[in-house]
Amino acid sequence: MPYSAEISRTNPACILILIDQSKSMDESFAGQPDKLKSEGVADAVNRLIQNMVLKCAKIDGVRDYFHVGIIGYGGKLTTGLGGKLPDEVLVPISKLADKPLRVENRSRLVEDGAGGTIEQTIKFPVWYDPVATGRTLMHAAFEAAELIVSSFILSYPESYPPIILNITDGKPSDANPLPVATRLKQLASADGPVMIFNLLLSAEPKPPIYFIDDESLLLDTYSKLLFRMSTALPPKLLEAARADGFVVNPGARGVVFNADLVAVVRFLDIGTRVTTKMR
Amino acid sequence: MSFVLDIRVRTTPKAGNSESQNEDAAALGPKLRRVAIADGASEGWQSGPWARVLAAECVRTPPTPESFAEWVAAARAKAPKTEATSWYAEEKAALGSFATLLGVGFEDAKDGGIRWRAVAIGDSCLFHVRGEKLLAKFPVESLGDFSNRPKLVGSETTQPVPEPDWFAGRGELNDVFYLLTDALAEWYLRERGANARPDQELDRVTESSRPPAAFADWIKSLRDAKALKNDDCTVVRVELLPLQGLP
Repeated sequence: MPYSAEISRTNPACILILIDQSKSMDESFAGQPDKLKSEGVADAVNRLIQNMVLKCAKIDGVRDYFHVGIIGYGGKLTTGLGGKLPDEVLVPISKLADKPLRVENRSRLVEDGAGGTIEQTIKFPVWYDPVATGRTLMHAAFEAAELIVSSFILSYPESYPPIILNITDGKPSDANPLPVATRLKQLASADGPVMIFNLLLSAEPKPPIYFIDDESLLLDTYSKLLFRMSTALPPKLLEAARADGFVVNPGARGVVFNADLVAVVRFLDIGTRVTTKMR
Repeated sequence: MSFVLDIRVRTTPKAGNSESQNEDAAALGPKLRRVAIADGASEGWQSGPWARVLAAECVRTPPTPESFAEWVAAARAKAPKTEATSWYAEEKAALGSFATLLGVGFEDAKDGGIRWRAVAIGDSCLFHVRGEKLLAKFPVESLGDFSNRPKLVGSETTQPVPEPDWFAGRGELNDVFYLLTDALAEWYLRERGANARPDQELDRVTESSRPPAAFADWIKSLRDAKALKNDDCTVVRVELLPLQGLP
């Protein structure tokens, strides 16, 4: 059965995040005027990496269950997390654990147990800072991803299939990424094909649309393109999405439209939910 | 006292892990006539040491239905502590460690027979066998009951105390009890379902004349044959023997 490989230090999982860094990412989320899209995405990605480190941390060290990479695409391709283009983009999670760019103190409101809230200071490690400049080289980003993911599969042919998460707020300005996405989805480890999940940030304050299974519900060509680029959620991820309260049908794609900040967090959470045991 | 326990224990870590990374624990109290196993969850910060605390406490001072919450609180007071040296150590240590627990104790009944009582949280399993007959299985009834999310006892006081399962029965001399962590328990039930005799296999690999490495070899052969999932594996085999019958 696909997507059942055990994740271990000898067979880690690959998570590659593609982030739109075009100029428009410096605009606010629709309906959330106090939060820039670039900052909201950076917060969500940092939070994701933090959770992944915590998942892998044991008293005797951080186990390299995940190799994680970021490719930013704006006016040019960049890489985050200390990785290097073209072929050293992925970084073992233990290296990230020990070397965030900085650890910030942030405050959050928690219930005080008496009906009110109190402010609590939490540590917030930062690996990725927001960037927003230039155009939207999404096609180039997927081409870079193809190289990274195919060499990962060569190194770890038995691994849990690589996961690519693409977060964008606009149309590609270089070329149509569908052909390269289609090629990527044909790449496979022994455990199954590469997964591509896409998220489109909202342009208008409309409720997010999660994991639809029917392309005809989409009105514009660009949304249809993202739908076609996205992998259908494997059965266990479908179950996980259902357990989290999403209404999903068989064939639901890993794609989110009209995403607000909460939707970005939920997308990253479901998209990286590995459904096998880690050892 | 009319009977004694003949106890044998074997354990081996997941393939790819070292002995020190085995997060299963077993505690044996031959004089108290109690044994316990605990299976540390791999997501926890130091689930192996926490599993050892739970198993040891369960043998030393077994919990009762009336005082289970207090019993957990006392065990948590003995949970291993950590000096945080990094942001993630601080946060993960605060999230705590987790383990299943299965304990069983034997005593003389007033009518001259043998009584046993067991407590369980999660999917570590007890099987009571007489001759070829499987008399009792606890707490898991069938293969479908195994999941990736068993009930667990957390090490932190902020975590809720799970509801344990309780069981009691009567034993006879020469009855055998197997305490198995989940991977082996799943194998055991599947073999039983196929009318095989997993007890004989377990008896053979836990014979005191065989070195512990023989158990690891046997587990490896089951994993290679895809008959066993890759997990820490522990078996405690208890046989009720007449007082003068201990080998």
